[in-house]
Amino acid sequence: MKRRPRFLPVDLNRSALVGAAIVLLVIVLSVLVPLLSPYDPVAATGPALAAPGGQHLFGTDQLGRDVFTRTFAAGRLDLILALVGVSAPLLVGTFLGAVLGTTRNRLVAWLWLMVIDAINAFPFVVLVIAIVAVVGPGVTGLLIGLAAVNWARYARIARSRALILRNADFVEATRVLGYSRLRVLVRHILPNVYSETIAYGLSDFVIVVLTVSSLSFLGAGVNPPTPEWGAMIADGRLYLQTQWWITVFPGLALSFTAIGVALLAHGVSGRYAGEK
Amino acid sequence: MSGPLLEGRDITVRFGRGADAFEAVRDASLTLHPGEIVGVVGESGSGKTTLARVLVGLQQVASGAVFLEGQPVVEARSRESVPKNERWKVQMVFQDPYSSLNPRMRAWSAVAEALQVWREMTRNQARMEAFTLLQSIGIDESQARRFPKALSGGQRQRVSIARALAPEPKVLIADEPTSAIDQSAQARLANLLRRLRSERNLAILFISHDLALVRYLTSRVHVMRRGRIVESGPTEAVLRKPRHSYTRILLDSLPGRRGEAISNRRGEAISNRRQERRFPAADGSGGF
Amino acid sequence: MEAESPILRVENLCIGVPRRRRGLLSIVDTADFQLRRHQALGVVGESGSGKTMLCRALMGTLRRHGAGVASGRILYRERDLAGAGEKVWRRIRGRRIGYVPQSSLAGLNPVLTVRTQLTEAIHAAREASATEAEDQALQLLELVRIPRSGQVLEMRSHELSGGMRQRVMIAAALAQEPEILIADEPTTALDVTIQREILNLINRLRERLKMALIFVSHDLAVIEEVCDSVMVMYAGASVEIGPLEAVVRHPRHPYTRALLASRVDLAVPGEDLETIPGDPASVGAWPSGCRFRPRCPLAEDDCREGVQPPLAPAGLQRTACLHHDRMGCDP
Repeated sequence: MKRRPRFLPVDLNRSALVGAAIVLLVIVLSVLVPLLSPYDPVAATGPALAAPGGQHLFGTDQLGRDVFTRTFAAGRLDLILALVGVSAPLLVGTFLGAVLGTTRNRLVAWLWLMVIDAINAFPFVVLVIAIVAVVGPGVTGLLIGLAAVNWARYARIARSRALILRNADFVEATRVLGYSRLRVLVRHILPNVYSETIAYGLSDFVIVVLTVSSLSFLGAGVNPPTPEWGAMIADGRLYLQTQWWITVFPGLALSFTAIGVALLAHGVSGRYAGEK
Repeated sequence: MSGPLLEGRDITVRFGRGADAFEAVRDASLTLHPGEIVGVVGESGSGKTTLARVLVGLQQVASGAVFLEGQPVVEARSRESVPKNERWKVQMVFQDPYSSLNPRMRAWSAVAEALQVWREMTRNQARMEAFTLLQSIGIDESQARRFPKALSGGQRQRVSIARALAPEPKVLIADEPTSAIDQSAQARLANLLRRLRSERNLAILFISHDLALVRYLTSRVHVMRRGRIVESGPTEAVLRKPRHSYTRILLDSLPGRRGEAISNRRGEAISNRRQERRFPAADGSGGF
Repeated sequence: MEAESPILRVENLCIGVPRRRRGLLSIVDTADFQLRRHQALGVVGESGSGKTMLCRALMGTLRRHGAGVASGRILYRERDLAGAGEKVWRRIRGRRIGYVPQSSLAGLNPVLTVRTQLTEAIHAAREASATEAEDQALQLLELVRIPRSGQVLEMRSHELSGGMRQRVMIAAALAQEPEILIADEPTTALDVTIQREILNLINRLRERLKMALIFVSHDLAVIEEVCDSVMVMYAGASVEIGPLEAVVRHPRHPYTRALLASRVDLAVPGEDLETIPGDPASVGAWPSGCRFRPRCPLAEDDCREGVQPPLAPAGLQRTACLHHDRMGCDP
């Protein structure tokens, strides 16, 4: 707890650098491969179940679709889903939590806190599945489900941080200076709360990527034939012992991304926690 | 101006309820006039910080009241303390310079914000004025562009003072502003407070556990112990001829030559004591 | 005379923190002093002057804080400890050199009773049965003048007041009857009345146990109470060292003089206090030549050259100032 860095760390450490490089590679490939590939990711473009080779770098799946193109087309979708699935709850949850942590209206704060605790009490994936089941599967359903559950985590972190900040000298000083409550919230509380929730958001990114994939694997996520890592792994698992490439390549891409983000998160939150 | 600028009358602050209730401040009264520095001395737990918080409206009172220019601004059971449009008049400097500045705001920006809110300045005007104000208390432009973590304790304390001065207040409550900073920075801060008093006709309440500083800075002093003001009066008189036994204990506890400067009689006693203790080997003959 | 041979000699000690790529970051360099038996040396300096790092070096705990001795010697009874490993230090630390940390909760383990912590220290010093150790623990508490020592023995740190806690920490430091006691700002967080009691206690103990004392503080007034000699540190360097009276009455370094002049206890109300222009040199950004040069009224061109000047004899003390002969005699 020695020093707090600025908004985002400028000097990343080694773990963060390696993580950032991995994530960047995945992003670049996910953008470029579907654009440059001669194959359509959702159409049969060759013989079914062809082994990896010259024509099809990662082989083809049971419907003759190119696994290489599909893996990176899936990457694009997964990354966008995770980005939205993290940033929307991050923004909403942080703001709500900060307001709850500073409000003087105890009844309202108590009611909101009940909701937050109720949501957080459920296992994350279970609750998302329940909501997707109501809204209907697909990209929209998945996003609604993620956002509806995930904000509560951010809100709890933001609230406890704001509770501490509320009694910090520099916030007391704003009271003596007679600043409006909105000003105090926006200029003094929120910037200091965000530093905390953003650090959590980075590690949450991995959880969300994995959640999206597992939901699709379970059939509660992205609809076929849209390429998605979890869905692809689910599709290929019947052929795992003979045509391993259908499962292994999206699986590798998923693990690779998860490791990259985790490294980045570790490095960055390490900076936030003040350790070297 | 006939009456006092700021007056605290019979202030009592209670924490907790029922059997656990604890009175942090009990029946404390004090006044502040323009252009004077008044001291409050006491040890930890004496209630001096709580009293300061009452005077700026951060702490509700159980009984008693605070009057600003004759008008009551803090009273028992009043929900909203000092009225919003009056708040600029009484400002505060906090004890810990490491927590009293927003870590995500550059020094100039903290000052400019107060200027924008109270002095109806545009962004640019406030920015220029903030640099000028900081300059006047010894924070140069490059330091003003830094975040608090890149400033020393003494520099941060000066930034907080600049922020408190931005609304051009009439009263400054300084709660142990020197206790967390180095000695040479302390001296600088003490000079600054004296200058502000004379240049701006500012009334300053200087709260400290350091009798030597209080003697140097203040004209009147209140000694607090366990929530009560046990002795009040002109600083010189109180420190030269303390009437309350606790004031005497505080004086006797001062280390080094502090006591000597305040009361010569006592000072001799201290240096005699030191002579007796001295070991023969320490005659300075060798070793250095 | 035995008393004249120093038990601790620190010669040109440099302490650094290794940095990735950019070599060593110096935190202390040219710390230079010696300590005779029964001597009480005050170390005074502002934050960032390196006094805490110096204590850590003398306790052999630098490595735990990611630092190390870069050069120089720490001679304890003619034995160089500068490069000593943990094994050697374990025999020195506590037994030969005791340590009283800053008065804070951190000094005592919050989950252990005073009894456990004291007997632990006693067992570390010598073979003792449980009852012997407990007897000694009680004696130690009485030595540091803790009333109702039997009750205090069963308490944990949060049940003790700040002053009591500090007494217990002193008792723990004395358990192994060290020859040298290092106290790092032991009264800084305490109220003046409690500070007075602790200072008196340290004085009494030192006389009774004939210990040497290294007392670190940012406050010269406190050092005047317990020490007979003083070392002034600025930006990681010893700038002046000598008998207390000599240094306080006739400082031979401009920094010492400025420090004395800025003392509020000797100031006349109504007159401005003297201040030191500029800001303290920060670690990693020390100026060339004499580190105090940018803030020094006596600075000349030759102060700019080379490295921090070493201590040289001047009067009864030693000073690092090249131009001390131009200083007036009174502070």
